[in-house]
Amino acid sequence: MKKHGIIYAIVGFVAVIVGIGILNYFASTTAYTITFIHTSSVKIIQMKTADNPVAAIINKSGDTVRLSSNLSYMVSYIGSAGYASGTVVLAKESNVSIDPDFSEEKYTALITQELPSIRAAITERYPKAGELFTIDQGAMREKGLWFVADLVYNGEYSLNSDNLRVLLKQENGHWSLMTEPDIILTTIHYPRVPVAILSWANSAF
Amino acid sequence: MDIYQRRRVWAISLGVVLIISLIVLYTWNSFVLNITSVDPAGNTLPTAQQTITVRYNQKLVDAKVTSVSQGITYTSSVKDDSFIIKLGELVNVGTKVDLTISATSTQGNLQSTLSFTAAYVPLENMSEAQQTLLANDSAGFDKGYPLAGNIPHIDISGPYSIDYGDGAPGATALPLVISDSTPHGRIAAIEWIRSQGVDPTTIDIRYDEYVNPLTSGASQ
Repeated sequence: MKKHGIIYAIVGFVAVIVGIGILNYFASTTAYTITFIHTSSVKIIQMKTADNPVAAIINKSGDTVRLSSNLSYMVSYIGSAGYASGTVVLAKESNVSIDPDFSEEKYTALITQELPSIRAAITERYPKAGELFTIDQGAMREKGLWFVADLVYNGEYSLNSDNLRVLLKQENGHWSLMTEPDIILTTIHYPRVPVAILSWANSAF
Repeated sequence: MDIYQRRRVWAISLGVVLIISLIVLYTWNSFVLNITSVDPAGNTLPTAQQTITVRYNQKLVDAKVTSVSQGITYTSSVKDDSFIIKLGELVNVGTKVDLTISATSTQGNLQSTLSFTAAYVPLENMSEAQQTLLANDSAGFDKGYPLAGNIPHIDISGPYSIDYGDGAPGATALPLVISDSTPHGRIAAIEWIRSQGVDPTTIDIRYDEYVNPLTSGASQ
């Protein structure tokens, strides 16, 4: 009987140890679920180390991996044709969705294609824009949703010959002006435009 | 197995079960998302307090305000295990501030309702964090006017000069006025603002001499 008691005690003790181990594992790790489109070669890389080892390879969209909560990670991915490659730092989110923006090459082609209608939208609102400014460059983001046009002054140098920028948004296949042409576009004047978009427009060129 | 042996087995088994239960109970609390503290702690929101901080027992993935009393504006942020709600402005005595917040950690989600009534509270009765915040009020001014320490700024090679201008009636912040400038000077002025670690996007910038040829009524 004494033998049985010892066995029960050992089994109980082992059960406690295993239980604590399991609880500790779940408490010290975070489950990251990575979903992605238009990308391949998706990897989770450990940050803040000299060699940045690969912590996990995500073979298919929606895969979940459990990694130590005490370490820092980022997801690196290679964009499919026409899409940009990049990285996403795994900060707090345990569900990460990767939907990369267009690649520079695709944007270059898209800007060339869209410039005539962008120019028309600007000169329709500001007829003098086509006369005083050259409008043949700009920057695009969010898969062609936003465009900031660089209005380069082409008249005589004067105290008002500043280059300007104007933000446009593509809505239902048409370009709409979201700001007036100005030297700097601010949240004070355009509170309805996301600050990230305005900030990007101000630093695009 | 006699009765004593049986009792001993039962006692040992019971002990093991008790130990496991205690461990599970002890650790379970860290697995379920809970609020550990709220600042302000009671139902009184000091009229001098603009932030409400809700602290949880787990690091948050996300948190948001799902409903708020009418007329109350706010911004919110998540920092580690805390959800910080900053009211758009200080509230008057008697104002009721009801909030429903939703917080998410890797272990789950928690919806909570907080209710406060604004009242005057002496500084010494406010939380330590709020006392520190109010004592460092000048830091708040620097946040609103991040260039204040370096303004006015004049660059004769730009050329440009930058200073704060007069605010419009009811305006919450003073505009930054760029004057004595040329087109090159204005670019240099904006670059100087950036060099001070300030994004010009967030500032009300005006130009003394510049007339926009596209938007000025006479030229358009």
